[in-house]
Amino acid sequence: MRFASDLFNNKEIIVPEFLYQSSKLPEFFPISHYPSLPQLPINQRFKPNRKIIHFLSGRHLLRDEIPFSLQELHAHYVNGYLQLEPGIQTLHGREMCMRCGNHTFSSFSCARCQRASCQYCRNCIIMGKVTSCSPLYSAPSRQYEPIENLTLQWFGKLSEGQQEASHAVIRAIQNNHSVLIWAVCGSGKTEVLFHGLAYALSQHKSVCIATPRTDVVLELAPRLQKVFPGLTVSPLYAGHSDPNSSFVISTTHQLIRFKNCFDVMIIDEVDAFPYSVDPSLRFHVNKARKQSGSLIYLTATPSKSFLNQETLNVVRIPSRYHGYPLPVPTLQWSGNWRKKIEKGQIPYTLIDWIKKQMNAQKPVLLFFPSIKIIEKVKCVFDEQRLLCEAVHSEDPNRTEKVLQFRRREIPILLSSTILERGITIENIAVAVVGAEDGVFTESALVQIAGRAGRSASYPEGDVTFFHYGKTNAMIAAIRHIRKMNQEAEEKGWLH
Amino acid sequence: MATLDRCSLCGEDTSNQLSWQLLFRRKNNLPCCETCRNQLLPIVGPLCLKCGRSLQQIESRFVEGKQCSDCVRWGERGWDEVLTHNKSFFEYNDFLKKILALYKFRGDVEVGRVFSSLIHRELKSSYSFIDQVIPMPASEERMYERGFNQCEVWIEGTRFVQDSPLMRTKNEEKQSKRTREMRINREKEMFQIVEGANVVGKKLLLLDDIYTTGTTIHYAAFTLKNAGASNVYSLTLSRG
Repeated sequence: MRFASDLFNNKEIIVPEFLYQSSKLPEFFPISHYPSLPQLPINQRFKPNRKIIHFLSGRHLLRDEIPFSLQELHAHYVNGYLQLEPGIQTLHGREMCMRCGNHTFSSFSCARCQRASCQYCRNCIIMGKVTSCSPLYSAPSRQYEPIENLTLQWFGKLSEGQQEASHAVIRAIQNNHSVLIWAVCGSGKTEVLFHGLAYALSQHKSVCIATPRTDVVLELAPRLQKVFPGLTVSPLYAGHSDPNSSFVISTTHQLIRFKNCFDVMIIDEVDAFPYSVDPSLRFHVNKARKQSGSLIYLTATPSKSFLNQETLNVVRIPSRYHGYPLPVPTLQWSGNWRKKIEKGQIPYTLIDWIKKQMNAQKPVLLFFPSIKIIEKVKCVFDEQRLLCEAVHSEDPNRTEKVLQFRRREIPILLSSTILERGITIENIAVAVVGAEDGVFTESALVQIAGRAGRSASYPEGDVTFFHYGKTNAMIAAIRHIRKMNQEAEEKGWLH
Repeated sequence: MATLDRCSLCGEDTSNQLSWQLLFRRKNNLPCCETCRNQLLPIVGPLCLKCGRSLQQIESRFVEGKQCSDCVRWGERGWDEVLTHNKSFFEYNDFLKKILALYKFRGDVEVGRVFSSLIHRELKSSYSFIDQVIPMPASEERMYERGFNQCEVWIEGTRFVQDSPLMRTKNEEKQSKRTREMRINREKEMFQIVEGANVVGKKLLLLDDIYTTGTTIHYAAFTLKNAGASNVYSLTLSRG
C-alpha cells in the first residue's frame, strides 16, 4: 500500500492513497518510507467503534486480515486508537520481518507499491504475505471486564509434586516471573495449571496456552472449558485464527498474529519440534506476550541449553500423579534387525516380546526410526499374519487408526516418532525398534518410555529398547528416568 | 546463503543433491529438488495439433483425426483461424495445482520463478519468429489483489519484455445497464487493445499459466486478430 504524509491536529500522520479523491494528488510512498511513525495521542472527543478496538486489541494483522473499511481504520489511527508499522523494517542495520522475525527476503515487482523491487517474507507467507509495503495494524491490549461467578470447578486432589508446582505457577503469575515446570510424563501437568489460571482470571489477566500441536489444542480446550464454566475458551489453530475471548489456547504458529497481548503465557512442550528448531516460533511467542507479564514453560524433557539459562527458576515434579515410579526401559540387543526385515524376517527377540505382550492382552506400540522402514515392517508383519496398522506424520488416516488402537480393534500399532508425545492408552506395552538410530535422542526416548504405566490401574508398564549397539542417548534416557524415580523416592512421594 | 540450497517449491534442504547435471544446468532441469521435479509431468505426444494436449490421455471418442474434439468444436463455431496453436509444458496434476496456488494465491513469487528459465529457453528456441510475447493481462482489481501478474514474472529481466498491446476491459458498467446482446457478447469483450498500440501484421504469442477450456486464450486471440494481428499463438505452463 502507498501512503502520503499529512498533518492532523498538528501531528504528522500518513494517509493511504485510496482515501484521496481530489485531482491534485500528493506524492505517495510505500509504508517502508515512514520507518518511525509516532504513536498518536488518544483524541477523547472521538467515539471509537468498539468492534474495531476489540478485534485489533493485542493483534498484529495485515490489511487483508481485518474486516473493516480503510476509512474506519484510518480514523482510528489518527485518533490514537490503533497503530501502523511497516511489515519489514531495518533494525540494527538488518532488515527484519516484524511479524515473524525472519531476516532473508525475496523481492518482486509490486503492483501495490509500484516499485520494481518490493521485498517479501517467504518464511511466514503461508500465514499471509508480508511485504515492505504492507502495513501491520495493532491496538494496545485492553483491560478485560471481570467475568462474574468465575470459579474453578475441579475438586480433584493434587499429588505432592503437583502441589509444589501449582504454588510455583501461582507465584510466577502473581509476581510476573518466569518458571519452568519440569514434570515427568504422566505427572498431570494440566492440573498443575488450574489454580494458577483461576488466580489469573480473578485478576482479569489475559492468558495464552501455546502448544506445538493442533491435537493438543483440541483436547485441552474442552477440558479447561469444563473446569471453568462461564469462561469463553478460544481455541486457535490453522483456519481458526480469531479469538473471541482473552483466554486463548493456540498452536504456536497462530501466535504470529498477536502483539503485546498476553499477561500470562504458558508454553507447553517447550523442548518439542517444531518449537525447538524453528527460531521464528520463539519470536512469535515473545512478541505475543506482554514483556511485563509472566512466562510458564512446561516440559518433561528440557534441553541442556534451556536449563543453562541462569535466571530460570525450575520446579521439578519427579513422580507421577498416581505415585508409582516411572517404568525403567530394558535394553535388548536385536542384532542387525534391518537386514532381517529386508529378508522378510522379524528378529527373534522382538517376536518373543510381542507374543508375550499379546498373551498378557496388552496393546503393543512399536516405534521405528523412519517412515520407509515402517512400511517394510508392515509388509513383513502382514506376511506373518500379525494384525497391525502403521501411522506416521504423512498419514491422512492417523487419527482414525489411533482411535482403533485405543478401542483395541488393532492389537499392534507401528509408529514413527509422531506418537512420542500425548498418547495415553491403558496397560500399553511400548518398544523402540532400532533405538540406536539418531532420531531417538535422550528426550525422544524418555517421552516414548513415558507412554507406559500412566494409568493408576496399570502403573507398571513394559518398555523395551531393541537395538543394534547401545548409544549414549539410550543410556542417558535410562539414567534420566532412574534419577527422577530416585528423587521422588527421596521426597517420599512414591507408594 | 541459506536460500541457495533450499528447493524453492517445497523448502526441502537440497545441499546434498549437488550433481554434475545440476552444475551444468542440463536442459529441462528445473531449479528445484528432484522430488518436486519428478512430480511435474511433461506433456508427451501424440498431441492435438491445435491445443497441444496429449491425445493419449483422453478417451478415443474425443479424438478426431489429429485434433481433440474440443478444438474441432472451436473450429465448427468459426474460431479456427483465431488461435494458430497452443503449446503447454506440464499436465495440470494435484502437485502443479498446489504449486500454482502457492504462486498465485499466496503470492510466493519465488515459486513461479522456478519456471522462468524453462520458459525463456522455449521462447528463444521455438518462438524466435514471434514479434511480441504478451503475458496474459490481469484486471486492475486482480493485479492489486495479487500484487503481480504471474505471467509477467516469467519473462522479467529478458528481452521479451515490451509494453502490452492488450488489456482487460474495465468492468465499470453494471450488468443491468447492458442490453441483452451486449450481455451475451460480454465475454468476447473481456479484452481490448490498449490505446495507440499497433498489432497489424504481427505474429504474437500469448503467455498464460493454464489452458483449460481455452476460452480466455481464444477471446484474447480474437481481440488481437480483430485488431489486425497476422497470427496468434499461445504458450502455457500447464494444460488442464
